[in-house]
Amino acid sequence: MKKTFLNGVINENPTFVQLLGMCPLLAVTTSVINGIGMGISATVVLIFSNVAISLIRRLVPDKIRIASYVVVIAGFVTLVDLILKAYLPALSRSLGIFIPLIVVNCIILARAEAFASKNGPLKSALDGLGMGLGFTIGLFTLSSVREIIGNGTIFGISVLGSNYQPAIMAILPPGAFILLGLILGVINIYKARRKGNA
Amino acid sequence: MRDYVRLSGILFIITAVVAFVLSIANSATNERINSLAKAAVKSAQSEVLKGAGDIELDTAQTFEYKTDNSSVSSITKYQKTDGGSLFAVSCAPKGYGGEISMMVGVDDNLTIIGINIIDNAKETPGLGSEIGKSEFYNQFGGKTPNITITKGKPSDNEIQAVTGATVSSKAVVNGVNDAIAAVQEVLST
Amino acid sequence: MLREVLVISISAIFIENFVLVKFLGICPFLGVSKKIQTAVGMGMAVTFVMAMSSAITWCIDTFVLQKFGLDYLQTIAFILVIAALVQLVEMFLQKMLPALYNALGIYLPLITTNCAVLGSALLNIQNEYNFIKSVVFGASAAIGFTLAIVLFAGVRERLEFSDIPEFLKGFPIALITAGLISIAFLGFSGLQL
Repeated sequence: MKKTFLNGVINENPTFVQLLGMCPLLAVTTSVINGIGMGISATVVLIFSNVAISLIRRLVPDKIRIASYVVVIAGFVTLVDLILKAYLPALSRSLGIFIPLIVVNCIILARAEAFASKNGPLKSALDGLGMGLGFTIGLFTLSSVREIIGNGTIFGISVLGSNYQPAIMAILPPGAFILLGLILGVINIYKARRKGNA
Repeated sequence: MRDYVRLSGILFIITAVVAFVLSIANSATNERINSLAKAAVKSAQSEVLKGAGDIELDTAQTFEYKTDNSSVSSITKYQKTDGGSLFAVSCAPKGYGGEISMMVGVDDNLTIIGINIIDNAKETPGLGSEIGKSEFYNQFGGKTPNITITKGKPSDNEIQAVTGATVSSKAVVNGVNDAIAAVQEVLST
Repeated sequence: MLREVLVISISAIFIENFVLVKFLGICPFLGVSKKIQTAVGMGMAVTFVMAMSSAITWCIDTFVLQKFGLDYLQTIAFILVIAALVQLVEMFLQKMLPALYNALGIYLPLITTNCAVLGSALLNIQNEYNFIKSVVFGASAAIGFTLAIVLFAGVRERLEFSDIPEFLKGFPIALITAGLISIAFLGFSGLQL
């Protein structure tokens, strides 16, 4: 049980290890709030779609497997979209079309196909939670780096003082690519070190 | 062939179930989403008009406004408690990344009372999005028709652009000028 | 009208480039960009699918969803149309152009989950484009995608032979390169249309 959960957070972290879900990762991480909002929305969709797909896995013929999964996922995404619009309109506006685009987030379909279609609902829910949390950690990491460098703030609170001249490039599109590249590079160094010690 | 019928049947059933659940969710949230949008408009209207004395809230009269080359979409007219009228104008000028949704308050002498940026999410974060800060949009209060934009120190009827975001700043100025023109048209009819 | 269409087209290709500015279609951008040839093939397939899907989704939205107040089914309807369309393209390529089919391999079915395709369908509705503008926007955005992926593949082919610090090899350097191309595209944002 614990292993299923931690697998998504660390060993198979969707962002840093599997490199899935890059579009929302790069697009919405201009501020930490947006990043976490996206992370939680995707996690909710992941958990529910994993459970639903796990429940119907024996009823769906193999040939229309993917199409059925996509419909189920799209259903949950629309639900999350409606709920955000009704209760968190500001977040809904700033995430914009990336909320409906959770449908085509590779992480979700990949987990449906690789895990939920082969495992029971409880395990699938845990897998969804783990993967969702892993994705959220990825979003949080990149968005906090971008917000601190690009705006001098985190969660909108100034951390670098008023003398800091924000490097706006970090929250412009190129900053997303370059900073994610550097973060992955740092992870590689860390991995190489650990291997060297072992 | 029979296989195809069976497969599409199953897919259809799944889609129908999902669609049914969504229709329930939609009717449950629809009202809230709409009233939220209306409340946002109301509060933006009272926000941009508040510098000009008390208004009779229930005298609100909204006109649709559709003209080519104007970013204005609607005008709401309020009667003032001590006579005269005020106008809250919704407009959406084209900014850098898309439309900027904003509200402009104008009195019947065509002087700006105040403006408010409702949606700047499509502008570049950290640059164009700065038009959403009060330091920028508070400059508009008291300005009169034909507002222009400058990068340097603003004189009489000028607005100082946000550094590095001339396009977004110019868009807001265009919206305000459109709003004044629209009110002028309403007053003259 | 003609002017407007031209403006939509140019800004979709350069100023609002789907990949480098809007971050739509990043997965194939990073996945299928190791060789120029496959990048071109992928770009063509995506262009075809996006132009078609823009047309079909616009019709469905205007004549069915809006008419019956079913806006909330947009996402589901659109993704189903796109999935069916990709299936058709796949069958067509398999029969007519087997070489291209083999080259694109597993990436073809992946067009379904290419967020650029669904993204352009949703943006058409959000921007309230009419039929012609929708198709132009879809096709232009896809051309922008193709331009970005081919440029990127060109750089990556050369990266293969360059001396890169060990820890940046592979994905990190690819992302940093994409960032540099994105900086170049920022230059287009000064264009006043």
